[in-house]
Amino acid sequence: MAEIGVQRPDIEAGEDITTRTLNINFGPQHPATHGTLRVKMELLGENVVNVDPEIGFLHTGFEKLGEYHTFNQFVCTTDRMNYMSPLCNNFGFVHAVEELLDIELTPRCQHVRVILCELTRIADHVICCGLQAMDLGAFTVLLWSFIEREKLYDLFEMVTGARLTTSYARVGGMLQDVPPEFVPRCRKFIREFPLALKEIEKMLNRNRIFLDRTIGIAQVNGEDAASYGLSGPCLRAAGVAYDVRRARPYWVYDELDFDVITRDEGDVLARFKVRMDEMRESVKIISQALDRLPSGPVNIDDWKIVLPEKAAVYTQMESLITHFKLVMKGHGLKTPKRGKIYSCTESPNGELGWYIETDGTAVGYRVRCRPPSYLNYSAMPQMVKGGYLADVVACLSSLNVIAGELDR
Amino acid sequence: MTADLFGIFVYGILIFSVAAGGLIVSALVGKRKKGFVKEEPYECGVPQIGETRTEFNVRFFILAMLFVLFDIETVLLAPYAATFIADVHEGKGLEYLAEVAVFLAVLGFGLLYAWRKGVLDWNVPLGHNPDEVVSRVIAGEADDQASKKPVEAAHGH
Amino acid sequence: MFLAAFAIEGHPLNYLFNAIVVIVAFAVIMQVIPFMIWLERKMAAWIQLRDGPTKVGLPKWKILGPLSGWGMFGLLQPLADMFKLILKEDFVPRRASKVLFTLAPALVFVPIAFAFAVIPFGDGFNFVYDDAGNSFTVRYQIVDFGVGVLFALAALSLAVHGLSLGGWASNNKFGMFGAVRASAQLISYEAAMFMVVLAMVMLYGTLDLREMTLRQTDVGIGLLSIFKWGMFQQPVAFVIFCICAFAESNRLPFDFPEAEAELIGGYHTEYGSMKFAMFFLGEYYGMVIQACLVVTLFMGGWTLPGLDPTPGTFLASLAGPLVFCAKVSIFLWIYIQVRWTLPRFRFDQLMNLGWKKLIPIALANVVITALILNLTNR
Repeated sequence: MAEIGVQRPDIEAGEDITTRTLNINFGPQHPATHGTLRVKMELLGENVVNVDPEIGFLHTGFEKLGEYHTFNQFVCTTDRMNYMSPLCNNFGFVHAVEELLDIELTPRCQHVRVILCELTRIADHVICCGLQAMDLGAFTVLLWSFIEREKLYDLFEMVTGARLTTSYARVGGMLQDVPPEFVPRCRKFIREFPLALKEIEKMLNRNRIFLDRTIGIAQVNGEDAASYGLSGPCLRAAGVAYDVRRARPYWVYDELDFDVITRDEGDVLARFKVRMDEMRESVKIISQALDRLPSGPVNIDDWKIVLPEKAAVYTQMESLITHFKLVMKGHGLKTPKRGKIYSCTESPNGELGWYIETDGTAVGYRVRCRPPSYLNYSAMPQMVKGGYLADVVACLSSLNVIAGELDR
Repeated sequence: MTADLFGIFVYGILIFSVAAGGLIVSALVGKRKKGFVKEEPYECGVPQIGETRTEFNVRFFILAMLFVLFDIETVLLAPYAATFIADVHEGKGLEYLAEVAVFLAVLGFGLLYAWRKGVLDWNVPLGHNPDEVVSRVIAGEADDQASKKPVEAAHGH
Repeated sequence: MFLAAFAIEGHPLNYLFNAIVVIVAFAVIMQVIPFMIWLERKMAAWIQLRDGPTKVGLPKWKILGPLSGWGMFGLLQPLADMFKLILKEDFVPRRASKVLFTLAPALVFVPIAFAFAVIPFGDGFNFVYDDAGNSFTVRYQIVDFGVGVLFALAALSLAVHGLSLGGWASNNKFGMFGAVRASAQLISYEAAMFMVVLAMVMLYGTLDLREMTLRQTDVGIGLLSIFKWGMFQQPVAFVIFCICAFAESNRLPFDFPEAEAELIGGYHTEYGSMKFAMFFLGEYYGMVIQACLVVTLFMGGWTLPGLDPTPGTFLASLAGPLVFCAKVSIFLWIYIQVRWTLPRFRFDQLMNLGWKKLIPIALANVVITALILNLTNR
């Protein structure tokens, strides 16, 4: 940029009257980044000229940890990765291991996993919608959605014993079966939840300010979205009907009736609405899964993979030995010598993929994650360039970037 | 000093004492620690990049000038407005209104001119017709307003 | 020469009574503000389905008996907050211009507070001080300028200096942004506000706020005189003035200078301690005064429809201030309700609303008002 007074701008040729752009750090410690993102921005007045996102402020070496922990140990790490949807991450990872080992889960386990995953999806989406509203200034909606999430966390607490750090999944099944009172509580929740959604929609859907702030903001078309690798609600909001639950069905998703929600606009409002509608679909899925929920064991009957029951460990020699073999370092699960797998599940933010390479031991030789946030975030600069400062905030919250997952 | 003015005198003392008291108390009470890093201006927890007090976007300045115009206008119109009813009763309302209308029209055209020049359009560089300009300053990548219109229609608004 | 300005004219008791009125009014506002902060937090909590402050109340002293440790619904929370702020460190960032940084909060508070001087919150009373029947009038108004409305608006608009200097002086980019936004926003909406007031001045034919209040009553038509209120006579002006009142006091949906999600704290990012409290005080004082202006201009001030507002009556002398307070609190309640309901605009939308919608409408309103007055008052 030219110095003031040195060179006069050529107005006729389309140059602006010379003002300098302002470089500004947006994050890592900023109320709108919901985590530790850093966005270096070049601003011209209120307009964003240039955006340079920088990641790595929450780097924790999760992937590397996967190469030192056994698969069941690593489950604990996965719920720290995306602190908005820990259960989806748990199940996503063990699902990859199960595909690697070619394990067929029991029907009850599959149903319970579907229910818990959809509950997590609701918990994630409802907070994301609330945050979206909060970043536009409507703080109230966030607290309303927190109430719903508290109810969900109560459910998780009942099932897993923890509210956030659930660590519930195990290869070949789950830590334990859901308690008997889970089903009625869950039914009660899905009966009441749509009312809360309606309340939130009443507050925002016809609010002129909200619409003005979201329509046409941070737009991306389907083609660009797909080539950036966007997934989940962000991709579906751009009109691409890609949902891992339908495209590559796992568990019992292909037997359940639900729609893949898409919208064509690809802007912030579309993402908001896709999330709202997906929560309704999740409610639909949960109620079907609860209706069909079969009885029976949740863990597969294979002592080479699943720990034997405690009672058996204390009374039977074989069980004790199996337990010992599974738990001790240097023993554990048996995996293929040259096993490689890429497996993905639909986490609330999009396609959560795991690439696992094994060398025959219970520890992954290479564990790599395809976090949805990372790829969603990569499209951010393109979306916000030329917009306003406030649009950056709206865009960030609509992408629902989770820093833990982003940096791994 | 009349009793009326005495009121505002007392009020002034009260206000100034509250303002000064607040500032002085905050200066006296509470411990202070100094430190190089601590006194860094807050920029989201990382060192500042670039200068803070640089030439800011000129648009804000032009807006301020526009405001001065309108502000002075209102002040000039205040006496006219205050006596308007009396003028109407005298039967000169329309006559005076016509005179003021000229004044208002000049102002209105001023606003229109500024509007047309793009002072009020925040996404368009100054000095250009907003209908024609696709912003060049903003890296040439900003989509123009026209392309956003269909989206609005798609949402049903 | 100078001292002559302080010479007493009239009865000394007049001075005393005036001083008492001023002090009481000021004390009431200074109580209203903490109460409003409490109410805001409480109402926000109710809107958001939570409890809000509940703990800070009476101490656990045995002497208080059953009331010992009673939370009083957190009524003393603002007091606790104030003490906390007093005890905080008085921080000045590096390379900030210290003098402006320190003075800015006062520059916000003082002019805003001065705007209250012309607000009539009641009529007043006649005090007869000797047997001959000589009397003086004590007004429920700090000072009775003939150009009250201009004074109030001018004083309110001075506050922009405090905001912009505070933001600029702190040598912080977010502060700078907040400062620039504050100045652009406040002046934009001031223009519209002034123009709306112009229409009101035409309608009432005076610049005096006391006169304006009285023009909105008509004892002859009883309760129907509510339709003499400005909000029914000039609905467009009322709506625009309310919007501008929100914008002028930096409240959601117009809280750009401090837009938390974008600018962290905006102009007060670097402020702490009592300096921050002073900004806060100024903001709330500003809200109260905007509410006072709305009530005076559009809602009949301290009068009630159907009641006789002539001096010496019950309404004018005693009930007036209470009626005024009630009306102001209605408007303050709307302030809070809106804040916790609506999202924030974007800056260009704010400017579009101000310059492309409100100002032209207000301009047209002036002309139309003039024409209608011409037709009806022939």
